[in-house]
Amino acid sequence: MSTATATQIISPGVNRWEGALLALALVTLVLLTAIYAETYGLEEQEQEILDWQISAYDGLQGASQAIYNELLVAADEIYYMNYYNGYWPADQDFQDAVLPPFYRDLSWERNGSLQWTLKDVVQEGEAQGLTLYHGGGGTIEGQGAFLLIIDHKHAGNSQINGSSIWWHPDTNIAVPETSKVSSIVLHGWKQVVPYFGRDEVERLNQG
Amino acid sequence: MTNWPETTVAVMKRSLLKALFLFAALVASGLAQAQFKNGAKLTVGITLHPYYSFVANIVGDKADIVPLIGAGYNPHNYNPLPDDIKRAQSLDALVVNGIGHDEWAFEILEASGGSEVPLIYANDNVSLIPVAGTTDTSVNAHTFISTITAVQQVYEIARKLGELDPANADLYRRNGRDYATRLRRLKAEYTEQISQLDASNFRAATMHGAYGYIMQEFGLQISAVIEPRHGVEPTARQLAQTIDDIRAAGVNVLFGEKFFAGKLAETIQTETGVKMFSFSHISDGEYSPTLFEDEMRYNLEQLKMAIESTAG
Repeated sequence: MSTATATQIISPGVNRWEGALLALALVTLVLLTAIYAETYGLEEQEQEILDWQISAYDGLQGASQAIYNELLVAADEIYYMNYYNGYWPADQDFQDAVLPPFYRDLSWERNGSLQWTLKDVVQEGEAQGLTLYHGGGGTIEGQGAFLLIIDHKHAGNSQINGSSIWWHPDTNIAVPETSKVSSIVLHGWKQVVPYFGRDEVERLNQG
Repeated sequence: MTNWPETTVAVMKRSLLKALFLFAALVASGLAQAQFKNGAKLTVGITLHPYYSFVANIVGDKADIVPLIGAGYNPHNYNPLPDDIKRAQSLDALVVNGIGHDEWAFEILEASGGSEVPLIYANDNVSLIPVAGTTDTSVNAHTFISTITAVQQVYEIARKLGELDPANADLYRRNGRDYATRLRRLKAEYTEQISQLDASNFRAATMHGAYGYIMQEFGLQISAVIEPRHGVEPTARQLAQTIDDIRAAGVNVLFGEKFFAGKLAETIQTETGVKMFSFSHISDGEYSPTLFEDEMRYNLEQLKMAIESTAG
């Protein structure tokens, strides 16, 4: 008995255009994903840091970064001390309040034992004052100096306009004679720019 | 009389309902505001354990504190539950980390329809640093494991609560400062003890990339972090590389996790011979006003013992 074998060729139920369309759709999807990632997804924590500024996030390192963070908190505390006590706190107040970076302990030593001085400045011709805390003479190689500037409307008054923190690569730089920002910049001081939590929140919200 | 098409009538009904709902919401909100102004207590929500302690020490008995999630849940991989949504609906304000450690809180808020709850971003004025001991340049969200950054958050929370509750603003500020002084004294107490020790041989690695801020306070460095990313265990290849790095960097101390202990730390200890200690992530246990101080004391004690163990 012989068996006949029948072969039937079945063509796919799609035409060649569908394959091409599928490929085109895939390419479009990849392109759109790349554009989206470029626009929104790959955003880094980029801040504009000008020539006369330095980033606290990736510009300052090690001890300097630690001192900056302490100084930022201290600025708040100094304001409160002035508000409640009626004068700008000096060394003994800081020792009593164990307030870093002024409080002299192991952290202070490890961070270069900066010597801090207070200077009250009254700008000539204006009823404005500045209070400066200058930290210099650090013992760590390559360590800089710091300047906390508290800007208040009237000399001896606690109405604060704001504060800023400055860094100089030479730890032995003298206390600035002037209080003008432009002059401080000309003497090589750089304003420290933090990457605050609110900057990160903004970045996350944009993402 | 005009005969409106049926679809137009449906749309008008929906609009009217929406308007009524909006009106009712506004009235309810106004009543709540009025009640609050009449001296009712604030109800302040918090997302993480340290924030309970911070807020409790700031407000004293002038506000109620509501943790958004129950004690005992891991805040790294938390999935919102129906009860969380109920809690979120009762809040006058919510204190959040906001920089990557409590993203689930925003899901809860959204689900509760409470997106209008005033948020207090504790880290608004905290200067952030990258994760230490890795090539990862992303932000270290663990600002709540350090006294310096804790103090800054306490000030921020006190300021924002004072804006919401002006009658008690001065009290919040004073309480915040008292608490900050206590935290500084805690740090000073351990600094004094650690200063007696020789830390020249201290080379540390941590399992979790959370401890850059606390180490920075003591002028100490982290040589390596085992987790490649926040909350992610390393692959076999990454682990082998980390073990090589630990040996190459001469790491002699490994800080595991007090609350999230695992076999991984034991493996590394066996392979490298490092001495094991642990840090508290301050994200477990019952919520309490003293929890932050207790856990920080634990961390500082562990740090002291670790330095002692490497002293020449």
